Amino acid sequence: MIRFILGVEMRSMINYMKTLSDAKKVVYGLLAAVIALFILPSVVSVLSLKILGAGEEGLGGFMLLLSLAAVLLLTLLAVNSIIKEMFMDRNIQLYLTFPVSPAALFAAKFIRQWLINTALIMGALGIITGVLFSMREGQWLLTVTHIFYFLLLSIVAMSLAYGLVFAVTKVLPANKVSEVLSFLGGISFVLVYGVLLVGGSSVQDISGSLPDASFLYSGFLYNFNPAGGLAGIVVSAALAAVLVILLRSFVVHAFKSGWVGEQSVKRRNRDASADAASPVRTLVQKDMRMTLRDFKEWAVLLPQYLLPGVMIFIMYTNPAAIEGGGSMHDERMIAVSVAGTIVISLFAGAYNTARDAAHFEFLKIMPVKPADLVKAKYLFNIMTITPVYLLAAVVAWMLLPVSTAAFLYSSLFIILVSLAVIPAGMFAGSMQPVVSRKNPAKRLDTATNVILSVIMGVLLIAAGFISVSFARGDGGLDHSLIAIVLSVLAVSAGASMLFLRAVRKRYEKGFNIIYKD
Amino acid sequence: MIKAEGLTKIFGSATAVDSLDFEVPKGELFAFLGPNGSGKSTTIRMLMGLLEPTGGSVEILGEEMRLDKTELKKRISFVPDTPDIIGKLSGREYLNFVAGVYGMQQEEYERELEYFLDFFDLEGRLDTLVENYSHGMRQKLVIIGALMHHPDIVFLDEPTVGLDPKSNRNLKNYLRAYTAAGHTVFLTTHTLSLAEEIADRILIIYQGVARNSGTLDELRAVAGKPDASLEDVFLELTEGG
Repeated sequence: MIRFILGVEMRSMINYMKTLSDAKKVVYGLLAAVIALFILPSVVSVLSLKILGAGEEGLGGFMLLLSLAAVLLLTLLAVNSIIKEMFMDRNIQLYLTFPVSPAALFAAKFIRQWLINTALIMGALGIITGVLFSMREGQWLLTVTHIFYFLLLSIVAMSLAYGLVFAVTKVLPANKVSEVLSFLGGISFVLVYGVLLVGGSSVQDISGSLPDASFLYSGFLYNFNPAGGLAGIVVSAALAAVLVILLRSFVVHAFKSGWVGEQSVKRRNRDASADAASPVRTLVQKDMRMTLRDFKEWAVLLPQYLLPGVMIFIMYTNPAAIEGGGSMHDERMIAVSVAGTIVISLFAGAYNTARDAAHFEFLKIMPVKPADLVKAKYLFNIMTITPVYLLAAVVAWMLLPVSTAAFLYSSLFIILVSLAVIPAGMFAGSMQPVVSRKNPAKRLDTATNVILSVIMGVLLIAAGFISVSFARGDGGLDHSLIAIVLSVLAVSAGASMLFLRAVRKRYEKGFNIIYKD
Repeated sequence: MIKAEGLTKIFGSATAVDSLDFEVPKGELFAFLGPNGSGKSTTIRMLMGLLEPTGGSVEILGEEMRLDKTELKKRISFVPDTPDIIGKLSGREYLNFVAGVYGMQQEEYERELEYFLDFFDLEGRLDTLVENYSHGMRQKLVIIGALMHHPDIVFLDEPTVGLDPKSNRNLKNYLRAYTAAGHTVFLTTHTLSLAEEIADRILIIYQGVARNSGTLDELRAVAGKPDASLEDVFLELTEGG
């Protein structure tokens, strides 16, 4: 029976590949090229430096740190995929109506998810570290022990992800579970930021503060000896088998107890009152409620919201990351305000506008003018971006050595940049929005996504240059240049109404919506 | 064939289904009716083994129903209220999978496929991805998957939603002939005219509790409306007219 299920899953995946649009094929190709040309070489070189250059006393801590980070990251990434298959596709319920045993279904699903989500990455990591340790010690059997070890970690990551998903289903209503877990999966980027923040130089400190793990790894992953290697392989295989068996019994029990529907009692809302408000206010309230009630909405934009915090951290803790170095705190604060506000205004403007595609026909049949729809969306974006960033600026001003003038300039920049750029984001979001039942967070077409991501990347790099250009020769703020830029932004904020007009026309004519699944 | 005894499901503090008792014999078309939120889907999920009852028991074909009883599950099938299809498959790939898991012989499968494709006017459309099908076409595909292996019992949850008139009539006729041949059909629907036309017996559930059961004439007698339609009888028994 497992064969049938795996066959269907494989067929489904092949059909998915076959029906990919050309744009998506190009994006995936680019992604593969980036991984092959940049990410993989970077990982290999960082690991080479750490493994080939470290003294033996630091190896245990380093391996422990690497293991924890890899497991944590892959666990969070796997959560999304498990949620999608277990909750959103309704696949499980359908499979279970067929003569398929819960155990067979678990086995087939687990094999597929394990191979795609964790085994592939952990296997590659095992090969890389194995080869490096083999080179270090001239003992090629270390490659085998490392592969075994990292495959065990891939099972651990899957077990934790399953455990997380199923534990949350026990305490939350089913319809909320996918939101919360998608949110958790979505914020796994925090770990990526974490790696950026910590920086290579801190790895030594962290691994040094971890408990001594040499008793786990010595003889097995380094300082190889046949007894240690064999014992490690046997223990890894046994642990992996035990984890899979435990997981199987846990998941099968959950299938049998009908876990998906178990918590699906709806609370009755007896509040039937409606505010006699203006259409714009009602529409803003609608957007606000949709955002606050759904964790997925938070997950979609959280990386962009938190980006300035990361930029500030990098700039203020790593002077080498910024051209010019020195103590340009004021200029950096302004640069982060400008770059961060552009990024969030573009992304939030686009995502929030594209969200209307899912209920576009409903909006069109309502007695609301397209101009009001656009006005409400613009207001909603301003309300959810500008105050948040102003508050962040206050916090940064209180915590960092930034002058009041720089804080005030930053606040002005946040206001003007958001006013000027949000319409551009709305324009991008209304261009070709996507409606996906299985993945509601996917709202922008591939081309728009790529363009916005490229802009974000450029701004991340440009933030350093922005701060340099706002500095005078003596290190102070260049007030006249700042005043000029602020004036240009004020004019741009006015001119961006042209974007809003274009968005209104799209609301009038109808969005060009791409429907997925 | 189907036996529920004291079947109860409690979610938190809410009782979705309360001590339901009924029995459906072989060869009967049994209509299970109730307003929205009355517990029909919860009951059908418990009968299929998809949801564990809080209390009571379910017996299908003389055996206690459990999800891991694959041999028992080979003798029943289910048409859910929304025609979702597993994965990104074409119609043919989906039916191939169904035929495979139910252990159909190739010859039998080909014969049944030919019959049902003609029956539901689906010839020439089977190699398109299901995601490009209309709701009605998906519904037809799911119904074909549920019927082509001739299960002893078929559970149908709102099977006619989205079907065109011809397919609707064909399905009605098929179900009549199916039960006449000794198979059992458990049907939930809000299309009361359908139940009135083809059901042998009817059970009305309201707020999780079985209200009345019997033939249409027996229900008419209980409602005190000897010549009324099932719709009138249903409203009388659930809402008091």
